[in-house]
Amino acid sequence: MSSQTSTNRKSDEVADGDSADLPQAIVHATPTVVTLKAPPDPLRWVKRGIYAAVVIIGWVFISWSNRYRLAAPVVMLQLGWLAVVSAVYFLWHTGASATAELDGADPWWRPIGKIEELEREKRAMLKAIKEVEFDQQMGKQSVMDANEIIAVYRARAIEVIKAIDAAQATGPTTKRDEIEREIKARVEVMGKSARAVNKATQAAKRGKKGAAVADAKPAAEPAPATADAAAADASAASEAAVAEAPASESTPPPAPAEATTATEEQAS
Amino acid sequence: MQSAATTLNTTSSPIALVGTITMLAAYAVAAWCVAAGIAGNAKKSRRLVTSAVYGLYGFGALVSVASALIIYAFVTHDYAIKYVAMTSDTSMATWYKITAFWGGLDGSLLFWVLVLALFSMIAIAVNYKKHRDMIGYVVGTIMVVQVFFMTILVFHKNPFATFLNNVPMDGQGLNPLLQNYWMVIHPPSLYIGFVSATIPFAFGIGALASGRLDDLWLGSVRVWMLICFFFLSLGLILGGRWAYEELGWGGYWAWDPVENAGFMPWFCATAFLHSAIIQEQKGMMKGWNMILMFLTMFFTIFGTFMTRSGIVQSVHAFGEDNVLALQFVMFLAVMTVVTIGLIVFRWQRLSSKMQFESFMSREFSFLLNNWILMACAFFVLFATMFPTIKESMLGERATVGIAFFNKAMPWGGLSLLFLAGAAPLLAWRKTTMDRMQKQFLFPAVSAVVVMGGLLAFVPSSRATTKLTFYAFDIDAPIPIITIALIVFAFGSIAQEFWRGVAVRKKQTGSDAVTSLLGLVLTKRRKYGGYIVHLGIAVLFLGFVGKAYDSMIDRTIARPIAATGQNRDHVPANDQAWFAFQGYKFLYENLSQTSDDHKTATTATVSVWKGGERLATVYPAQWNFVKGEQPTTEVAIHPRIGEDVYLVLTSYNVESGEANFRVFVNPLINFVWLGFLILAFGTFICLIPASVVNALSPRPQTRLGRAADVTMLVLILGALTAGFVKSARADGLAADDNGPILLAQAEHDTGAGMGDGEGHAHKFRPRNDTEATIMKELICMCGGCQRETVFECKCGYAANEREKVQQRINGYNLSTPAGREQAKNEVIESFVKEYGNEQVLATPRNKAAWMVPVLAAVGGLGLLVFVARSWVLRGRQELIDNKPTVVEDETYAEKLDDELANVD
Repeated sequence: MSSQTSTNRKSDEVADGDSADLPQAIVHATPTVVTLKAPPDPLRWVKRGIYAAVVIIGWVFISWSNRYRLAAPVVMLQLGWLAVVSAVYFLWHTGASATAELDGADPWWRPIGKIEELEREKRAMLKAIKEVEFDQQMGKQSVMDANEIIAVYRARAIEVIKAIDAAQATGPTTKRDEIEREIKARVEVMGKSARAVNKATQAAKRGKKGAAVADAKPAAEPAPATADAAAADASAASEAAVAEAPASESTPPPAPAEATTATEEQAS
Repeated sequence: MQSAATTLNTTSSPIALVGTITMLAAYAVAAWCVAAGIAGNAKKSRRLVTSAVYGLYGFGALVSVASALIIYAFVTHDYAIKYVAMTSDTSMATWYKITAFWGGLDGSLLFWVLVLALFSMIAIAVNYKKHRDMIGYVVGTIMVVQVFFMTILVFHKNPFATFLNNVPMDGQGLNPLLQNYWMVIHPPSLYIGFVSATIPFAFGIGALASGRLDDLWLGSVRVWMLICFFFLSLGLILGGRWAYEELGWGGYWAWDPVENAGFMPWFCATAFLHSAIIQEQKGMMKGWNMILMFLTMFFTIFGTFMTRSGIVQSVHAFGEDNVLALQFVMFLAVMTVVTIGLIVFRWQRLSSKMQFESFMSREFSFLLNNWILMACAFFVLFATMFPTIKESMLGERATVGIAFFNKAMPWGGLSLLFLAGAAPLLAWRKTTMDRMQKQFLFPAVSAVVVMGGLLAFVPSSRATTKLTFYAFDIDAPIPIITIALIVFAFGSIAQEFWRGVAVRKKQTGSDAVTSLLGLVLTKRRKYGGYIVHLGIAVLFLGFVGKAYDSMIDRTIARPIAATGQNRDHVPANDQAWFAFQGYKFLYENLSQTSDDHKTATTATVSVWKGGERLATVYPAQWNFVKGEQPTTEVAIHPRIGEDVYLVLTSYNVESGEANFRVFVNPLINFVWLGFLILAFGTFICLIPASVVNALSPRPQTRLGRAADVTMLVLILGALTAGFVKSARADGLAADDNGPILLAQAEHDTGAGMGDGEGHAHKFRPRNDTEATIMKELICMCGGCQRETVFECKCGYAANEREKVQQRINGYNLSTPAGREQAKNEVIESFVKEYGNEQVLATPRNKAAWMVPVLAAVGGLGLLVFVARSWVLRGRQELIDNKPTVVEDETYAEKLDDELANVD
């Protein structure tokens, strides 16, 4: 049970809270790769129902005792009752969380690493390059000036990307990094396969167009052949990516205290 | 006010008991959250942090219970509770009973705690996972602030405190000035602005304490600072609107300490929003951004301290309280020491290599903007505190009036206005001279053409106003310079949109409307920011109008209703007519109505222009049963170009005589319109990326896209129209055919302003020299709030005006030297009469001028010196880092892939 909940938590983190950190392509790719979704608490609707019932019963009682006349004092009492029930609910959890079992080595805390600093610098460089390009197109900079600055930023961005790769290659610091690397690798594979398909399609189109214009069938033949080959490569790569997916799902997660997991889910 | 006969001898109040217990429980929970949050984060104990987070939610719920209880006590008239008895009464409307919650000191502190609790619940719920490494510190910091306010509430200012005996049968009522619909929304919006500064501050402290100083937290903080900026702007503008409608002096901004208390954090928040962009773009200014966050928070608490401790005199102040002052000072000291300590502790990680490539770059313009904003903030702080500083040092209190600020602030305001137009034209990193010329051409030419045209064809545009220059006043053509800079900013922003759309069209191949929407939505912060700049420029257009406003006092012997004339056929020479600034006013009627709460005396005046009746307005005075002074209910006839603003300054119910003060306020509606544009720009900046992504499937047809734009225009138009419509503060809309005053006269012996005549119209200045002198003298009656004798409506001011006229007799006013001598000697005679300079609207003490001027100039010098070294370093870096090798093809492709995902 405890290992299961921990795994769920890890996948949740990647799927929602931290998705803002990841490039868009990765975010969009996650649903196909990461399938570990936390099973809902079977009693959650019961708990919510009880909470709602207590609130509503209180409201009905307040209304009944005021002869169902909706006036400012009645509204204030009803809001007050809602606040009272909420206070009891939250304070109960305040105590329950504080007295939960010990945390142990909790991967919930992220280590402060160099990689994040590098990622930040990379993002800044990408933004800077885009800004310079936009400024140049707006006429604020000459092409020569812009190219000069962009060249410097590109060089630095490549250095940073290399440094990130090197840092990642030395071994993941957390499970989160491991999952991110896994996703990234697959997105890359899928990206390559997609590019291959695109290239093949374009080649096919070019081939057909050329054939139509020149009306020379033999010249157009190699194009479909290239496209087919590329498409075959792409589908093989995709299959390989899908085939690898269960491997990551079976990665054994750490097993922190069950109570801690429960409280975190409630807090979120 | 309450006699012994109107009191009860019971002190039982279950509401007070439950409320006090709830507050104590909340206090304990807050203390637990501080301990659990900070210890949990330091020890990396997730259970403690989670407990602290739940504790924060629980605290919010408990404070909500306490707030609901106090409001319940208000609406059920539980006068056993002192606070309820002091700030409400049975006759008040339910809305005002609810808003009386924040109408006094105790309740306003509880309201502060409530708003902060609700805001922090949202902030923590949204950021709990994203910033889990520092969330314990964030919760701890927020709750330290809450503990401070709860300490005051529990031990010193408990709103649930009850009378020991003699419970009054009825309350004393809310200050009549606060019984205005703007006061229903103005304080909450200002409080939200103040309170929302706590959230970024807490995240800043969290980042410093946890050591997570990458810019992940900066994104969240920026959003909260933007919210803070918006609500501060909203609070300030609503406060201005309230002052404009309720105080009856024809203006909206008086540099009152409470207004300044909201303005100082506004400057800091604005500076942060600009310098945060440099941190995001270049990874620089981390330390400075931390300081700005701290200063924003500091000024919100300091402003609260100023107005609640009684150290400054203000129309809004809650009275003197030394215990409260000490508590605030101690909290400010602790906050400062902890923050500075953490910044010093993390300085090595905060300090980054500062390097700019050129002075002609956007980042340098942001630096300049930061300098100007901070100079403005500290100038306002210094000027607001100057009377207190002088009193503590020399034992003599000075007065810093509106004139002092108005003469000095144009320097900062105009510089900011110029930067609002110039900064968007500059490229990041560097802008070469030829490119800069091309960028500046259209806005600069537009500004020069408009300025030339106005100077040539509109003589009034050549008006000058006083400006402080090194402890001297000079007459400077501020209005025309401001208009030129507004046009420059308009031109600059229009050009930015035009060229941006052109680039976008080229990139995407879509039409102009789609490109415009795409441009604004993909670069929300940039173009939203430009719209905010546009709003600021429009606001300045409203400020310019102040240079052209005019005022007159008129006494009319009787209304036409008294003579039985038809109001559409009154002879032009009838005494009920008076004219001013091209308008004619017909005094039609004076009526009086009463209810349990107040007696309203309302004049009916029609406004005419060119023989056409424009409107009928109803200036009034309300005498509240429990108010000490009548309130002025001004009547405003809003027009696109100007407001016609009427005040009934006094009346005589027996004779029908009435005194009117009329203002014509040109361009004033641009102040409100400018704020709406600013709000729209802020809204664009706040649109989350997820919403933009959700909107991605845009309408494919031209009709669909046109519908989108039309909808936006309609929403903006409706907001504008609603705001302008609400400007009609006509007072009590008396029936035109209502009871004629003279028919009532036999039953009515009352009169306005304490006697039958009023004083506003007495001894008005006969020439410019008298007017200048009267504007330099503060009314020392004790009841007026820093109003000059020129504008004050009380009898004391009338006597002072008479003295000015007596003392100026005998001087030769036909020559400039004679006028100057008369001015100086008459003013000096008043200083001698009062024994100090407190009577002066503008302090003559050189320190008042020199300190801020020297600080600002010194700051600029330091900025230029430091920036020069950064630029030199940046240029060297550019040479050193010039790529000499060919890019690695694999990584170049990888970089291109990543760039393709960045918009």
